[in-house]
Amino acid sequence: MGAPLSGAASASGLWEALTDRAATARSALHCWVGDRFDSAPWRQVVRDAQAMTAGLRRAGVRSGTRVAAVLTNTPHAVRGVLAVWLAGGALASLPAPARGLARDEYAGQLTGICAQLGPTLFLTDQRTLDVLPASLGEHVPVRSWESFVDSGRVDPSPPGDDELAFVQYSSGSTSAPKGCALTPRAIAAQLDLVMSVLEGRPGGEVTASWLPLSHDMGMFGCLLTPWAHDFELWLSTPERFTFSPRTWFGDLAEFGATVTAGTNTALHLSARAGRSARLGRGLRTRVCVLGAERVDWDTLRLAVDAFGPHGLRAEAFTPAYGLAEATLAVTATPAAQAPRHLVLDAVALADGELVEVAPDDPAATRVVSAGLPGRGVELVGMSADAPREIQVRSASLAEGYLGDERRTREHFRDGTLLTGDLGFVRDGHLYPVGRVDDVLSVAGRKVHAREIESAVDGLDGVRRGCSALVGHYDGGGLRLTLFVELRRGPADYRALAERAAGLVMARGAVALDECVFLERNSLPRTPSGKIQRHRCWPLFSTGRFTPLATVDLAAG
Amino acid sequence: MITVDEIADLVRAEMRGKSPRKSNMDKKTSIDELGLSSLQLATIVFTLEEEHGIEVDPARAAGVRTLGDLAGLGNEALASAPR
Repeated sequence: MGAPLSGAASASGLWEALTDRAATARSALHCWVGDRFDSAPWRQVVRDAQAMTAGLRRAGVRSGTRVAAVLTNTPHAVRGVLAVWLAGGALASLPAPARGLARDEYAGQLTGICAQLGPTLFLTDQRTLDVLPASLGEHVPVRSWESFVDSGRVDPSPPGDDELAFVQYSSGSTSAPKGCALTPRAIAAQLDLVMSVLEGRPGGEVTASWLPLSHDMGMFGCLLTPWAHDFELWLSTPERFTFSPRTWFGDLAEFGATVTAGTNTALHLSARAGRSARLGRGLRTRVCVLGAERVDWDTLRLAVDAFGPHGLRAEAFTPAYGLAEATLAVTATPAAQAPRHLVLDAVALADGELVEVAPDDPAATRVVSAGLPGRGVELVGMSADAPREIQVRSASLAEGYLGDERRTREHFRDGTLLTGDLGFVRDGHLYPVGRVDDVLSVAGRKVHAREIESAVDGLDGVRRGCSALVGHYDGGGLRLTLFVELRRGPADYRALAERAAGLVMARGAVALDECVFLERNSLPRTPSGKIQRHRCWPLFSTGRFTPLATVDLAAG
Repeated sequence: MITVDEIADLVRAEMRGKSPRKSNMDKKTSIDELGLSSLQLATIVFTLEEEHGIEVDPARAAGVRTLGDLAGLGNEALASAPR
């Protein structure tokens, strides 16, 4: 078990861990820079960060200011994170440009966030500057991290215990920016929590990660935890994983990584690739945290089959549950335990009932546990017999959503976070099963179904307010199906489905798999007329809809 | 030999049947303009690797911008693959 950052999680403990303690660390940071890993001991990383602070101060960064950043996985961005804090600023992490997302959609996201945040400065790496909308510069000075290198040092004045230190903006489709406001105290508590989940040994672990630093799993789980606890860190990039999915487990083997993290979707792809992998040195990985989306039992089995012969045990897979509102993690499977699951009736589950069935039952769905509450976390009001909204008390809770008091009041009540996620607890284990609202989590991106559906409303022939975008698992990861009621039929269903798919990609940067066209008044609704999105897939998959047409977009 | 046409077919399949933003794909077509998600691109690269029994060099991937670049990356791997 790792030593806490201090007796009680505090700003001073956090800054000490990231500076003074890291200055005596023996481990190093290795950043992928396009064609190789660039290595520097953590003590050098700290010195480089300190040497950026005078330039930042001259650019206006001081206590009480906010700095917007698109954090890409580069050596300069890593140093810049600490540099902004040491110069006194709070760092806001904005979504990185997602492949497939329309340029004007991304520009709109960044402009909206900056209008809310009021940053002193906008920072990113030189290469990302080229793809940022030019209009951004009209609102805020835009600079590269590189432009602050070796600009000199100022005395450190990082944010205090309960001051704003970090704002995590979620990626994905969202009309109103949602930035979780974190204090150093919350971050320090989270790093303690992660360390206890990992059962990590300071100075004795090797982490390998490609997760984006713009995401909470990348930032807190895979960068700050290794930094604060003297882990060796091999920091790859999402782009490298994209072009060479084998590199995730390839790196784990090559560098003898003991700790890693990823998503279910990425694990599925890696496991597919892993069947033919040559992992010469074998795998020493003790903990592979899986988060950001629901973990699929078949993917775990596929991964164990693919990597078991290379030394990876089922116990290494650590399904976890968390969200940016709690800094990162809330629950996680204990390090030495294999993931567990329950086999439930999917139709009953959609109606809010937990009915265990045989694995070969046609309605069977496997729900994987996200483990036990982490250190300092309490789940409130959960039931063993029915899904309820997951409510969390944690030392890592955000202060709320920056600049959005209404949304903060809705979700943060008397120190309890109302997550909007549904789940139940059996034998202490949390089983997340869905959402109260319309948010779909696809490979770490938040997709607001209602926004996509509003865009679909604009398509010719579609009944306004009569579509539902739903996600479901088919063993190969999350598939997205759009149910649409038509004003009149018949129509050119494929052409309409393709236009809908184009909208889904442009608005949410995710691919639609299937479009189901229905007659008027087919979609299930509440007595007040609201579409019951969660019931659509179970009803469809058990033959209780009579579609006009079903277009399988994945089949081409 | 990996051709741009072969990659274009994979792009179309991965686009779930809907039209890519660029209807005529050739070696100069920018990958970013196609409207593929990262995961779709990863699947295309992996499918090429699986079908041709190659592993692309991640150190060369940073320079890939067009379908022609991607075909070139695959063909380099093909040339250096053990026979």
